[in-house]
Amino acid sequence: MPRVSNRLESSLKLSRTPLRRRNHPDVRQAHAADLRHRFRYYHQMYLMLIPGIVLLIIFRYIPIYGLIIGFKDYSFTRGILGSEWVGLYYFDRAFSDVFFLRALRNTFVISGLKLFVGFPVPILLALLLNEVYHQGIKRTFQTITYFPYFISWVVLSGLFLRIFAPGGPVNYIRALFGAEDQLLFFAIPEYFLAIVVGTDIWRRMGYAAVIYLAALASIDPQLYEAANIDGAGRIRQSLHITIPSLLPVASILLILNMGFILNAGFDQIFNMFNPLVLDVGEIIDTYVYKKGIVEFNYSYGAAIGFFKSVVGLVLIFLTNKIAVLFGGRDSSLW
Amino acid sequence: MTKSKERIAFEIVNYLFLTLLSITTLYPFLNQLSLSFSTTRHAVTPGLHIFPNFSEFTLASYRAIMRSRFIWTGFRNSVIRTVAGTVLSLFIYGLTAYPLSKKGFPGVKIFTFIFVFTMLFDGGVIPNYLLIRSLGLQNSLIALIVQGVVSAFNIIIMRNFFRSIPESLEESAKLDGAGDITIFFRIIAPLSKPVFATIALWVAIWHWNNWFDALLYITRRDRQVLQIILREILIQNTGDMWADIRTSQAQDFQLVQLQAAVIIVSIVPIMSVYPFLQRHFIKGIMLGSVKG
Repeated sequence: MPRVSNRLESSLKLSRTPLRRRNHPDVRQAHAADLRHRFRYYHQMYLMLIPGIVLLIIFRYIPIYGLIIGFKDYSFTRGILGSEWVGLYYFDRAFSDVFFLRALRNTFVISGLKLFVGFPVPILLALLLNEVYHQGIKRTFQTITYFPYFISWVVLSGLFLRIFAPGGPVNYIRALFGAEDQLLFFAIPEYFLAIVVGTDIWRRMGYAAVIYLAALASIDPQLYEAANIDGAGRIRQSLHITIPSLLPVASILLILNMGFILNAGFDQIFNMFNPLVLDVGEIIDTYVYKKGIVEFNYSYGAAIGFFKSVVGLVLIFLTNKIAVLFGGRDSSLW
Repeated sequence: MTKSKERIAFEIVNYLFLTLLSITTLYPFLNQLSLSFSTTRHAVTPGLHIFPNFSEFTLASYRAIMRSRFIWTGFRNSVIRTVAGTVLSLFIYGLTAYPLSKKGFPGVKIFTFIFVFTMLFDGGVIPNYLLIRSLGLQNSLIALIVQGVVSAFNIIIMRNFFRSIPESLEESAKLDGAGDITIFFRIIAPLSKPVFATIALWVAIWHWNNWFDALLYITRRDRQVLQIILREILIQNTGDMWADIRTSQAQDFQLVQLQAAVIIVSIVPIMSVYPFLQRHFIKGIMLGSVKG
């Protein structure tokens, strides 16, 4: 038994040899021998990787390759390769298309609202849950608040269409307070936005609070004991111990979430919007669907999709860099 | 331990607030549950409808749903897609994650990169749609089952778990002449039941709730999944969907109760796995936050 493990260990050590020493003939030879050895040692692993890699190429990399139709005038009969190149035509078109620009603006508005309005909610929820000492009651509250996270937006949208409908409970409460009309909330842009942002925060708060609760649980209790001895009350303890220890997690989550700002929540908006609120409700993803799938303009849809993917990639790298700058190596996504 | 007056006051306010929050979270569901059991006369009366009115209690809308052909086929297709999709995904995740968990495996960095890259950059809707079309998978449940089968995120989570298994177990098996594939199925997979269970739940819920791929790839109603049928009933109010339900003697119910009952029926499968979900849920989030 020790024979294999020693060889493996030495090969691992060898692969960490500094680069300048690797060029020495002896080291190179040993390195090659080590690589051969590791190939033999792990040869079945390559077999295991085959199904995953094949599926990955078909269902992930071929679509990435397919994005080149954004630079072509795609026709289904001529295929991806046979279609004619049109260069940046569709990108030019996108940026002179007022409807695309509107979708871009709406995407930023909706994402931005969800991000910044929704950001403190799970933190507050976690802080309050953390003050519940009875474990059973705490778990009950948690179980209830993260329940909506597991329900699809199709069902949730159906639910809220009914809750906010004329004759529904919200209009009923308004009537109790003396309102005489019935509001079509989903048809009024301001209310539509408020519902989209509000229900998204509502759906995610319990789920997001879990991460903060874990951060709260990892605070050293000695800090609180020391503060107690020094005579600091609950509020001062929260201000000087609890909140500062949540800050790193919070700021890093905020920064990293900014990397996904182009995803305004297709599942939700596609099921909630209607022609009356297109002006605030149309986002990039719904626009791609409309142009590409409904109107069969595949190249235009792919060009917008390509733009979104590239900007998304840049944003993720950028926000990751910022996160590392603020929180050190540990806050990196990778 | 004695509590100060402020502390007691704070706890009362805190409990009240969390109770209120829980009620507002549950209210939409309770409201629909109550409506689904109501007679028409009761359902159209304005009100909050939190609890079913037991003097006007009826199962008429559920009976109507039970007779709906579309809902049943949708339910069946969703179950097929969820079960097949979850089993296939777990198989691929495990098989892929194991080699990627070995730091000494030649090429591990490149292989990991080509998986992780797909988390950061994807082709988007149009190329995926054209791919499925050119593969001839339109109107086939296979098009839905293969979705998510190469999720890099889940593979990385599983890889991290495999790394925490002591290598000495595998080395002794190797000395006995076992290959990596045997070791994976005989030693690693049985040891990894918790991570398989957690990811299985996540993937299953994802499959159950996913509808956009079905909207893109499935046009035939008898191949459609439940979520799209729900969409037609709850959001689009498609006419023939009503015709299908109404053929079953419509006496004492209307849209309101039917839609409410449909919402409740669609939530039941999630509710039934909820106890398991809870056990594995927090673990899942925590697994996701461990990187390597």
